[in-house]
Amino acid sequence: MKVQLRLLALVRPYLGWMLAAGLSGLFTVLAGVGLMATSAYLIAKAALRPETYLLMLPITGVRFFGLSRGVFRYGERLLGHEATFRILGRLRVWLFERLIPLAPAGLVRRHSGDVMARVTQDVETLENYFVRVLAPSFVALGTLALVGAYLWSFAPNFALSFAAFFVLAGVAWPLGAMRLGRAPGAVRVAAQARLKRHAVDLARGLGELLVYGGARERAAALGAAASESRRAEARLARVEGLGEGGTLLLAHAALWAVLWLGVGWVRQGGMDGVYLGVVALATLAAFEAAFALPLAWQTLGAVQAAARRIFELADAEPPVREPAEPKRPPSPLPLVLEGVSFRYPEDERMVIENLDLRLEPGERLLVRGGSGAGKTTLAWILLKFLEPTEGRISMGGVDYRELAGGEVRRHFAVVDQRPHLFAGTLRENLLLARPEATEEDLWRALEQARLAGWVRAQPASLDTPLGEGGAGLSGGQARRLAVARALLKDAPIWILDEPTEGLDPVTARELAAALDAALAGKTVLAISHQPLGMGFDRVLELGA
Amino acid sequence: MRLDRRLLSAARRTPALLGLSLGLRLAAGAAIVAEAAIVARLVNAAFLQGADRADLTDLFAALPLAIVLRAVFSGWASERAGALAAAVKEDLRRRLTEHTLALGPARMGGVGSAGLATVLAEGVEGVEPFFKGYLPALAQAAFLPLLILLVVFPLDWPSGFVLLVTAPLIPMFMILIGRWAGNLAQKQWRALHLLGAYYLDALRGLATLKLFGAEARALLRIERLVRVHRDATLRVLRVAFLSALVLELMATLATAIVAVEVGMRLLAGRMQFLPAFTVLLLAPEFYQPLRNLGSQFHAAEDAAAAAEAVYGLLKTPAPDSPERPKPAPTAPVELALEGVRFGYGERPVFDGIDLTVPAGQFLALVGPSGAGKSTLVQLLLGFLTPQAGRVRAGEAGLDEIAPEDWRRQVAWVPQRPFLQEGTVRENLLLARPDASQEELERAAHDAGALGFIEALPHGWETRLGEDGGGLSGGQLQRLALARAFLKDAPFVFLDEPTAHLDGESERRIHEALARLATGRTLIVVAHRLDAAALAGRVVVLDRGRVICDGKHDELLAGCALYRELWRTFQEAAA
Repeated sequence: MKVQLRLLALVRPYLGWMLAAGLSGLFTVLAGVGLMATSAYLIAKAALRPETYLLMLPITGVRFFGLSRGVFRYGERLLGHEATFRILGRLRVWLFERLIPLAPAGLVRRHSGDVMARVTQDVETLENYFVRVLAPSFVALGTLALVGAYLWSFAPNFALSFAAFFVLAGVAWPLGAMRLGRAPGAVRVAAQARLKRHAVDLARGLGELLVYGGARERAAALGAAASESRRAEARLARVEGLGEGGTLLLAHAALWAVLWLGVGWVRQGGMDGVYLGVVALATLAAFEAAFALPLAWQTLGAVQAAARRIFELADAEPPVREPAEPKRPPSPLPLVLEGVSFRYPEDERMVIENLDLRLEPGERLLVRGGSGAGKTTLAWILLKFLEPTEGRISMGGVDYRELAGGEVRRHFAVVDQRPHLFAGTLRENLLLARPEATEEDLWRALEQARLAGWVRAQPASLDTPLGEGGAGLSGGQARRLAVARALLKDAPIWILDEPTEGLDPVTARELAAALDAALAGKTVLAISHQPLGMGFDRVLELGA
Repeated sequence: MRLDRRLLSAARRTPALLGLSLGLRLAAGAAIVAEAAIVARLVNAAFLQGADRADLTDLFAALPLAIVLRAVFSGWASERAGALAAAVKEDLRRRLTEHTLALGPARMGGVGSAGLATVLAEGVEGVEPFFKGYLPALAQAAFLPLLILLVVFPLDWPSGFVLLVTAPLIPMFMILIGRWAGNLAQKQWRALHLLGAYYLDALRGLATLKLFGAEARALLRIERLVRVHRDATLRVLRVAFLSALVLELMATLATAIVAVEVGMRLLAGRMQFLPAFTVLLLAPEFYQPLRNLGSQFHAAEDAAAAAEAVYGLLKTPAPDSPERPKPAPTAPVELALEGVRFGYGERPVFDGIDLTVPAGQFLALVGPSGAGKSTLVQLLLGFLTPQAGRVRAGEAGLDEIAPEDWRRQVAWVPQRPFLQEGTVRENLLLARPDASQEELERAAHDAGALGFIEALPHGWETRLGEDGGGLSGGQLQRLALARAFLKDAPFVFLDEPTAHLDGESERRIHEALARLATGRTLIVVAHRLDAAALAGRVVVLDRGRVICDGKHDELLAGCALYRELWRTFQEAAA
């Protein structure tokens, strides 16, 4: 319910668009009702062979509804999507704004795969919120009220039985079917997850499974998961069939009820027989609005789950507090850590314990530590992506707590083991560091990173497009591009976080040599589990 | 509207399901016609003949029967369609896994292992809409309008004529507008996809953006892309939704024309109320299936695309098993490539290579990347088949030995070993399910893995998550080595990892190699040349040819390429 309210609050600015789309949808259904009702009236009246002029109005009505329904439908679809894309656009911008202070430390969740890919999909799931949930609900309510009122004008009984069957067909029956489908649905989801896991194991390990045995067993396990999924799907199909048949049954039962009441009412003289076909067909046509509801209920569940995940992510506490009145450090150095300890909130163990460190201008320091020694954590603390649990850090004598994160990061250039390269051209990736850089600046940075030769050999040179995550570059080239980008930033302090990790020895050595030359005169803090093949003034063992 | 033949043939494998699913749609159609006839009769009797409920008990009793039949047939048809989809998916998955086992890891064509997993899971799932949505809609659109025409024509031929003429216009307009919108979407492709791609990219790279103080710029860009995306999408939708407009317009306008035209003839006394009202009731039912079919059009397209991947894999030819297989050698024998030609696509990797490896030799394969080292191992494993020439193990060609038999005699450590979901113990036991704890420990010890296994939080019972969980590349390699030791096969093929290993892992792996070589034929693809220095014989490959062949020291003296490789490696290691 809370999620619903927040969602509604989020879409409120687009009330005008939504109302326009909703009314268009309502008019579409009502035009259908009008078409059938006036047609029935026209035919019945004509059968009595009255004066021709008496038929002019129903004929006009039939033509009007016949023509307008298509136009209303078009309006409904277009306005509905206009509203949807405005909502989605706002949601995307809002979410991005909320995630900025969280990244990267506040977004790392263990064992949850690619959080970002999921949340982007969740945003897209919300595309269905208005078009499939809000709009059909509005249309159904409006149809129930207006067609109900119309039927009431003939006899309250018509309206009451129509409303009863409408609610049964649109609400009670589909919700009941959903409840029935919950158990097999859960079985299916579990079976599909198992199937996916076996498929990955079989596909990725196929060669080894064939050599060591176990391929047949994996295939059989996959087959078993597929069979279980099939059985669950067969049960779900029964529920779906029940739902579909039931809704249809209820809609036509309403027709039967109105006819039964109508025949009696005509006989009693309560209504002219001309209208018998009118009420019958109006009732049946109105159920169009109820038929859209089962999908709305199903979508609602998915939308709510997606929205809950989005809100959960956006509501997370930022890992770092920003000062109310940020100061500026007189100089970026010295950088001093005093008794710094860090522990992740969900962990017991300190990742970093009582670390003292002092970095003077021009100094090159290598911090060594094995895996789990808190190397990346240290880099994040220095970049004010994380706050130390205990101890204090200062930059040029000013406490980190009094500095804005952006101010701290302005003084750092970073090369890590997984530099993020953006899809786009080489040039765009470089300009990220300094938008006003000239062509010369770019080439100088590429020269220093020893990538210029390769770039020049590319047909599109600086405008060579990179795929997602820098696809198209080898590991060494990606790392060098990251170095060139960092060089362009021209920051006084360099953090090298395992810059050669995952590269083959030859490439690693070449990268280290390039870094060694490019960083002459800079202050460098390297964090690595191995000697990097660069010269350092001091070595500090982390976790020792 | 396309009907994917392959998918249809998949449905034919369960003819009873398919037949029932389609037959029920036809039965539902008959119930629809019956319902309309009854309703028309009821209204006619009450309106024009002054009948009361008591006079109409038959009709009032028959109507629920028609309604129930209609609902039951429709619901049942939908249930059968769901069952059909489920059965087809299960069948496809079974055939795909069978075929995958016959293909092995190297014959997937362009699919690759990640692609194979996707085809097995999502790919097969993707054909579902064809059976659940499109096929039933198609069946209904084929039967029901025809049935209604058969009823309407005898009742009132001019109305039948209106229906008959307008019906084909609907799919025609749908296709025309669909193409128009499709072309437009293609033109707007960049604008349509840029936002989604950039948004995810920016979120994933948010830390990098913050490092460069570029987060505000990214936000502005997203705001701009959001507008561009909305405009582009709506430009496409304005056209795409024309199909909804036309569909509605044709259906309602035709109904309106029928109503007016019938009304005028009633007025002129040239027609009766009963047939007129029946026709009016049937007109919307006539267009409904065409409407459904229109809305399922995309489902069919998507399913056809999914089917493409599934059937592409099923069509990839698997090698024939030998009819009278020879036994596989159970002790080291000579291995040989004789005039082997092999290539992926046009470009040959090997154009007639000869190489003989005597029984029990420790051979290192070295060479620059792209030399064909890994392909050679795949040929020896039987995961690839030579296009000409043959691979021989002792007296028998690999094509004369049953693949399972040959694979029982080999152990293999790939460059990036893949560990199965499960514990460390389960992963090792794969090689020999009946191994004792002692044997496990000895294998782990020989591979230099015992130390770190015992230091893991849950030791042998530590669960390895996706991609080996928290283990380093060197540790994964040593686990894979332990598995090879445990298997104790006469032939061992090992593809060294290229990435930087920590010194500890590297030393242990090299120690293990020496132990592994005793009493076995060991062929190592050496990316790190100190492994080559350990081997009894080094073969240098370049672009599919053996350039040099000899001992490490001899090659250092007499092979320029080897000397060059060795020098680069030494410098890097320094």
